[in-house]
Amino acid sequence: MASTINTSKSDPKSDRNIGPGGKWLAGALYILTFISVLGFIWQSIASSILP
Amino acid sequence: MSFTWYCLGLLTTGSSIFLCHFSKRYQLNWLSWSGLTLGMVLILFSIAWSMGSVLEGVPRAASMGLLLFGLSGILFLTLAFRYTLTKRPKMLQLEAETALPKSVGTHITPPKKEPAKASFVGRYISVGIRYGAYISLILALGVGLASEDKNYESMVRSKFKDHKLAKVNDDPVVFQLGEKGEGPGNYVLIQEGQGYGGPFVLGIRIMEDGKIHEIIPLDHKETPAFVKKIEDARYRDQFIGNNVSNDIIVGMDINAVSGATITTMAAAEAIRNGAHLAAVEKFKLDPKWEKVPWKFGIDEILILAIFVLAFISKIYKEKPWKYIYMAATIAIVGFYLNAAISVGNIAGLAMGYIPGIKNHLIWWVLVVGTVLGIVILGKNVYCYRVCPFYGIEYLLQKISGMKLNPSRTVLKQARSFINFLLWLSLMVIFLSKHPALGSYEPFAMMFSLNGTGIQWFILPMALIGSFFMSTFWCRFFCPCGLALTKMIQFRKSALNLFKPKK
Repeated sequence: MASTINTSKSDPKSDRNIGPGGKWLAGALYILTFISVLGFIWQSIASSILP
Repeated sequence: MSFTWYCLGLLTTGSSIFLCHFSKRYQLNWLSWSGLTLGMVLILFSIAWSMGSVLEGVPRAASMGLLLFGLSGILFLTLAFRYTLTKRPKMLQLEAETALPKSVGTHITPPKKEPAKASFVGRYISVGIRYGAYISLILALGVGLASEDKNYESMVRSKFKDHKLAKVNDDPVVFQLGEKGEGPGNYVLIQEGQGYGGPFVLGIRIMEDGKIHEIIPLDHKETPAFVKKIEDARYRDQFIGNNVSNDIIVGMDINAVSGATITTMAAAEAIRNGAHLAAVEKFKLDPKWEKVPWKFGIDEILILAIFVLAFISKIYKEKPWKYIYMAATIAIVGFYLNAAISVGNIAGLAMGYIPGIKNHLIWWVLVVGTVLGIVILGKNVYCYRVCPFYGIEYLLQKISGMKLNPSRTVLKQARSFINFLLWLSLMVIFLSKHPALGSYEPFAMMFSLNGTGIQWFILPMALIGSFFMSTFWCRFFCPCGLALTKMIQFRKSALNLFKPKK
């Protein structure tokens, strides 16, 4: 089963390796990817649905 | 541009200062120095390259730069760090100093908070949002399916603005160009095909000599990058000059375009059907052409083998079979066939966009096979087994050896965000009736370097994210994986409804 449903749980094994810098880096990468995806969907809406 | 150089200057200075501090802390040898310096130079170069490309309006070059130089820079940097931290001794005089910040660090770490229990009203709001999302999706699907916007006449008119146009037949739809009785017959026969993204409309221009003179693409729902690939290969030109009674079979008379096989096969099928209709109805010829054989070759056998093996747990769990199987999915499903499933395929199924099994067995095995696996067995055999992008993520994770995670706050929100992204992408697909528009997965870009606009930034972000975080794309962004998971949940709920209550 896709692990997308487990995002709220943190892996205790991986938590040991995370410093504050690692969390910031991971958070920044997540936000940048999220913005890119939203940008793509916005591009699609702008090109097709909006007149 | 000057701001770019200013930022780069700051980054270079910052990197140099960091390198100086790091070298004071560890006894770096030539290997550490080379790895760290090369990594930093490559990353800085990739930033300069990408910013320059964006400013020049070439997002594809920006993405490629970020991927080629940025990812390899991160790779060098990570390996150099791992080597230094594990193999190189610390400077003695600094060891004592490092002890203090560590103890301070543990002191200032905020205590873990107990997750706040959702209030009664909050629970109702969340249930309301969930059901509202499902209802809005059903409504969007209904609205999209109900709005038939196939105005063939305006499609043809937009291509032949200077000609007079007259509809001379309804089934199949045929338009005559120019005045009736003026010169040789000049007809445009309309045909529809079922491509990878959904139906597309083609105009086949046939003249009185019984030959195809032009293929006019009137409407399509394919990924724009695939269409560009087909156009670049001048695929349509292969049909020109063919007699309407010719066989026109891909692989025999016509060459498919590698990497866009499904679209090219579907286009050929539509053109063949149109030409043969004209041959029988207009030119009164006997149908003597060959029947199109089932497309069943090495590609189909490989996909069938990969899909069947996905059901055997030994293959995808135990070493070395796991690695062999993963390499096969990356090579065959990914790079060779570029057939990774996207949310567009699943949404397309809901909209009835189903290509013929005779020519598109690969699509049937992967898409219909995955959905049937869920419906009948309750198992998602695609994610973490057949999906080639998962293989790439796994490989990157093995190289980096890092398993970062965003903060708990981000993790908590990520669950809602991925649901929102799936909803948004399905709404776009259902309302526009264009599966490619909402499929934001970077699979096609990864395996065939096809993409448009902002799409080019998703791939490097997904790969860099997967380098640092375990199954980054699958967990946080993959709409296809989430859609398949939701299907399993629906199946479970449906089965629970019919279970006898104790």
